[in-house]
Amino acid sequence: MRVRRLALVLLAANLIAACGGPSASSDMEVVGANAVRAEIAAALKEVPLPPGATINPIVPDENAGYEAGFGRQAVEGLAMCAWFRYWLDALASDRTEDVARATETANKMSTWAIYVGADQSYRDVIDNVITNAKLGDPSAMSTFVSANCRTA
Amino acid sequence: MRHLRRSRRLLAGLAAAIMILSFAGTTLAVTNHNVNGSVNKNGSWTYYNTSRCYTGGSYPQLSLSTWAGDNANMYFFIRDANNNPLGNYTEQAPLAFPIQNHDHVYRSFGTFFDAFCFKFAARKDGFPFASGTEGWTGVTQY
Repeated sequence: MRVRRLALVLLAANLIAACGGPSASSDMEVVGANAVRAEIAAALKEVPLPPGATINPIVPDENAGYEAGFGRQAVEGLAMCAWFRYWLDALASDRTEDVARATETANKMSTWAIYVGADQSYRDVIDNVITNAKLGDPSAMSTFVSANCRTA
Repeated sequence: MRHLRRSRRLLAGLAAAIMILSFAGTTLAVTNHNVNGSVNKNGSWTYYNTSRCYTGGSYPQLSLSTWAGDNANMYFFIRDANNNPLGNYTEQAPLAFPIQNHDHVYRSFGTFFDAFCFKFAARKDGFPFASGTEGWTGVTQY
């Protein structure tokens, strides 16, 4: 009897370990295109951009629904790409002040909605990109920009 | 005595199964990631926020389940930071899941670069005159 109970405890522990992982809420708020435009306008005033950079966040479909926060994350995603490009250019041309400026912004990206709301796979990639760039190795950042910022 | 032997066999079998599962979990590159959301009932697209990345070695697959009784198809495409469609599927030609009451099917979005990040857009048909939203659940593998 005791052995069977132990077996059940082991099985339960293994199932709990196997089932972990983030997931979005299924009762999320869905908003329309106008709400997304308002979010984008507000975010463009708050999210920092590198000197001289411009971004053009779009509302892709007038008739679609959007998870609340879509506009904010669209701006942050494009801003992140702009900062990584700026960082790579600064590293390549040895502009230490600009590298410091990009590093300072990157240090705050873990508080951005796009990072906080993402799943662990995304956070791992961003952490790896920033950590390696700080150590002077821009290869992960370069790969990220090539793969994910082609139209940003 | 026989009861004790059976219990020991059960425990040994369980221990072996746990070891195999643990080994597979640490050596296989492909892992499962839960996905879900609310989709418009009027048949229009819904765009989701949560970014996901895969880091090579595999490619995103998607399996889905839906609530019983819906009998509605689901459609997906994935998109980049500027909401352009990625991979083999677009808004006009999405990855389609014909779903009939809890039908689980596997579909693949295709192969991409390393450290590739994407977001979902989903649509569900079958009740074009309805309003509000409905939940869906699924699993991605990458």
